[in-house]
This record gives sequence, C-alpha cells and structure tokens, in this order.
Amino acid sequence: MLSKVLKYDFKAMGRILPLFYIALLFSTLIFGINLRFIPEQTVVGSILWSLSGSLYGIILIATAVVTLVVIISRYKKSLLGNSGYYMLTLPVKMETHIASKTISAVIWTLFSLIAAVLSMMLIGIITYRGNIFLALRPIYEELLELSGNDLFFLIILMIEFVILAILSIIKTTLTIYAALTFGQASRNHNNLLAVALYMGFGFIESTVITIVISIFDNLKFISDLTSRMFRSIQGVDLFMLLFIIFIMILCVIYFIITNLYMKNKLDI
Amino acid sequence: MALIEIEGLYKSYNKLLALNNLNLSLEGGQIVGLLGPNGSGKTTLIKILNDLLKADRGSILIDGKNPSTETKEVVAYLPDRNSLPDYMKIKDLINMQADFFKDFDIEKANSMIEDLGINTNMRFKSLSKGMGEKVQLALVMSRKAKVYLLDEPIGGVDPAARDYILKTIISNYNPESVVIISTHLISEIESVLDDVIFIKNGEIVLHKSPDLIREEYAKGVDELFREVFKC
Repeated sequence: MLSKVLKYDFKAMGRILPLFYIALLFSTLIFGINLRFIPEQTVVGSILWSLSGSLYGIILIATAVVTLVVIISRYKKSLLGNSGYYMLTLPVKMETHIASKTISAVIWTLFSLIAAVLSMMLIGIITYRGNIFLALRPIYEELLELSGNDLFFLIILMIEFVILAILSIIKTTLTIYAALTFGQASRNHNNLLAVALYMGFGFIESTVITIVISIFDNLKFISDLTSRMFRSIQGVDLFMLLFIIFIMILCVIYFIITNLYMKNKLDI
Repeated sequence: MALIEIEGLYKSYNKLLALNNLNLSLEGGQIVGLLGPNGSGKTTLIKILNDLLKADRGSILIDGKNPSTETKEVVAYLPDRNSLPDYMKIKDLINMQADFFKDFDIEKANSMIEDLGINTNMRFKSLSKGMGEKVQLALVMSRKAKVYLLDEPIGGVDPAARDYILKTIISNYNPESVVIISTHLISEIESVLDDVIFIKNGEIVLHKSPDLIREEYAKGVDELFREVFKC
C-alpha cells in the first residue's frame, strides 16, 4: 500500500516544482553567460550582471520557498482539509499516509537541493571555462589534511555528513507535520497554533541539547575526555555519529506523536 | 449477523454531547434514511462509522469488525463536500479508486461517467458543482461495498440532479449491502427508503419502516419528521 500512496503523493508534490527547476536552469545560464562574457566595468555590463544575478537569486530562493510550501500544503490539504474525507477513508493505515508524505517531501527537497547545487556548479563551469575542479582542489586538499591525509576516513566523514543532512530533512519534515497535526486542536487558529508549536518543538530540542551538554560538562572526567577528543578529527567523527543518533530519535518521536494524534484525536 | 451493530455510543465535543447512548442494528439489503435536523449527530455518526472520528465510549461493529483500515475496504463513503483532489483528471481519479479498492468496478465507473457526457480527460476542478457531485457519486456507487454511507447526497443540487442521484443510488448499489442516506430533504427520498431513523440530539428517537410509520401515525415520513422536529 505504501508504494501506491507514495505514487500519488510524489506526483501531487511534483506538479509545479519541475517548472522552477527549468526556470533555475535558464536563469543560471543567463547569469553564467553574463559573468563569463560581459565585462562588468561597463555601464551595460554592470546592469546586466545585476539584473541576471538578481533573477538567479530570486528564482533560487523561490525554488526553496515553493518546495517548503508544497510540502506543507500537500500534508495539510490531503489529510487535514476536505480531501481528508477521501484520503483518510482509503484502506490505508495512518502511519502509511505519514510515511508516504515524508518520503515524498524528502525526495523533492533533495531534488531542489541538487538543482541548487548543480546551478552553482554550472555557473562555476561557465565562468571557470570548465576548470571548476581546479578551483575546488584547494578545498579538497584542506579537507584531506584535516582528516589526517586518510582519503578513506574523509569519504566516511562525507558519507556521515550526507546521512546527517538527509536525516535533518526528515526530522524537519516530521516536525512540520507534527506541528500542523497538533495545530488542528484549534479550529479557528490552526495555522497560528502550528507555527507556535513548530517553534515550541525547536525550543524543546535545543533545551534538551543544552541540558545534556551541561550534564556532561559537569562530569569532569567526561569533559576532559571530550575536549581531548574534539581536538582530533576522530572526535568530530564521533560527534557526528552521536548527532545522527539524536536526530534519528527525534524522527521516531515526531512520527509516533503525529501518528497517535491522527489516529485518536483528529476531527477534520 | 447485522452489517452494522452499534451499542452505547457516546461522543462529545468539549461539553456538547453529539451522540448520546446511541444504539442501532442494521441488516443488509436495505436503503436506510438517517434523518434529522442540522446538529442532530448524523455527520458525527457517519464520521465514526468511517473511522474519521473516534467515539468516547461504546462499541461499533461493521461486518463484525471495529472501524479500521479493514472496514474501509467494505465501506463506500460519499461526504457532504467535495473531497476529491480537484487537480486530477477524471480518468486518473477512476484509476486511483481502482488502485485502492478491490471492489471497484472500473468499467461501471467509466460507463456512468460516459452517461453523464463527461470527457474523462477533463480535470475535476473544471466541472460544475452539480457535475462534480455526480462524478463523486459515480465513483462511490461503482464499488460493490457492503456499506454505503451517503452524507447529504442531494443537498445543494437542482431537482433534476436530485432525481438522477436517487436513480443512480437505487440502480447501482450492491443489493446485499446497506445504504445509509443522511439528509434533511425527506420528501425527496421517502419513496426509496426501506427503513427510517430519526436522530435528535444524538439519540435515535424512531427506527421504523415508512409503511409502519404510515400505519401507526397515519402520516408520511416527511409529515412525521416536521412534527417530531418542530422548532
């Protein structure tokens, strides 16, 4: 059943985003070509640089904003709005609905991120005449030095970073869904309550992190150990792993509370 | 075994009691009118039967099971509002129904939509209100469900559309199923009902066939309704 629901959620979320990716591509080409071929020092050049740069920036930001809007509106309309009278009467478990929307949201967010990164790389390729990798080399060498000239360890760190990034997107999506769901407790001010809840959840998360760090800081032998560790790259690796576990726990918590509320308390 | 068995059902919103110790048993093979004024508890009961809402207390069994993902496979629901994703084309909506419901008859749905003169390549949002409601009804009645829950199917449409909707319900439902039509337009549906339920302040105040009502009260259902629910 998950694959069926996912098919419709994925299509629904992807109705307008591809248009923004196409717009981003065109604005990237226009901006890159301006940077490469038109000298900025002339009046016309500076106007074109400014206009094409602004266009690129606006479309980049719009893509990010629309991605967020699509994620929020798909969940809200299809489960909490009038369409909920159809979607929630399908023979599909509540957890499947939530999982499907989360997976679709994460995939489209990653598509938007990749589109943004590729657009920047394309500008680099156009302006550096294809030698962007020469420009990136110093960054690579710096990272390799930091990882003790161990390429395998650097790759492990990069993988952990990607996992952390994906988990953070999942966590953010589930936090939004939890806030939207619990926001339904107020019939007339559900959007306002959802925003307040989202900020509240963030406050609780940072409070928990602060308390945990304070506890460890006050245990001298742990604070000595951690301050030695974090001077080494292996310490950074351990910190990333701990943070990955923390984010996973948050994902599970937000999923469970959203599912429980939707099953037992929701009245659309 | 009755298709729907409800015992001691309670549901309140804050301090307002929407369903108050409601008891009901319905067998298959009949069209039942769930009649009551606005705020009597009709939609609350229908939402609970659809597992869109949890009751505070009491038991509900649909085909021997509590409302859940399993019962949704045998319950066909027409809500009192447009609930279909309106950006989708009609043919995609038909395919979506077929995807999720094993009892959905895709040929019947296509035939009913064709009879309406609608091109299935049209998007749902391009249809008029009346046409949209007919399409929703076609998708619901194309299922061979055990329970059909139709919430205000004839409210807000013109008399010709009402006739079409009632004709569609009578000629397309699974004869072994129970069809529950919730409405306050009594005179329009009286002639199609096998059983009548009056619901008032969350309680069932009458549960008889139209023939028995005429025999006992010497009046039609509509007339009795006006008397029972007089303001």
